[in-house]
Amino acid sequence: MLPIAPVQNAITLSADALFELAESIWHSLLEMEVQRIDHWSADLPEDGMLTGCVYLDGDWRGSVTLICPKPLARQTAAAMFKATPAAMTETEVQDAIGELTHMLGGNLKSLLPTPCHLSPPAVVEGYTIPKKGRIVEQILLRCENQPLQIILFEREKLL
Amino acid sequence: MKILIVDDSNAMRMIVRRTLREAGFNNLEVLQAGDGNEALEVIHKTPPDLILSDWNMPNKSGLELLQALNEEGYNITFGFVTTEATAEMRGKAAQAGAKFLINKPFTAETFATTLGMFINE
Repeated sequence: MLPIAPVQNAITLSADALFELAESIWHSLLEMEVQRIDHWSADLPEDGMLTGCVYLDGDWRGSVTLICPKPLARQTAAAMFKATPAAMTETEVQDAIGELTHMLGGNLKSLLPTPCHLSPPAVVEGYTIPKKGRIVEQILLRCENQPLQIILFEREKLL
Repeated sequence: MKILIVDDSNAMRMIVRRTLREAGFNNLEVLQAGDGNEALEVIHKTPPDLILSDWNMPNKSGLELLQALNEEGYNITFGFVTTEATAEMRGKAAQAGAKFLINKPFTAETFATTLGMFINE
């Protein structure tokens, strides 16, 4: 069980716990290893980024965002489909990133107060983070020598 | 033995198929559907012996699919394979007649243990 302690409308989730969750998903689903890093000093791939996002709505409101360079997204899809990166279509790449984001959100949902609704995943071009809310926790990972970022946002509760 | 995999993610349907093979279930006839409505169409034409369904899907969710099957009088072994596994959802699933709920991410061992009770090759 992740060491998360929802208190009223707040959420407390350690970066270690978020990493454990990501490590478990990437390893068991994709047989890919991720390492936690403090910063990424090299240039980002020129091909751009993809951002996957799911919203959680209930007593706690927020979102889980997965930001991934496109070449890594393609490698990830290839691992998921057991195919070569070159064989992956854009739809399959987006499907893979969406499914990973949804899995992160779904596992976090089980730790939140009920009722809680998990949205379907949305995958968009670029480095796109929610305009509103505050970052509760985030981790930076290295996978296949490329950076990967997971951010947990909390949004204000509607009155 | 016929098994129907219901998930709106093509990637996840493929992973479930692969994990079934890794778990040692190699002689299944696998059917697929992208949501609950599509699953009903498949079931009306070719009733499977076992259904593995996602929970959250557009058009008709996994739970709505199970409820529709109950209303239509089908008696097919039904289990969820889902990213969400809250106690509330497990309760709803069991109440509707689901036999199991496998949480994503899963392993071949989980499939072998859980599905071994229902798959008879």
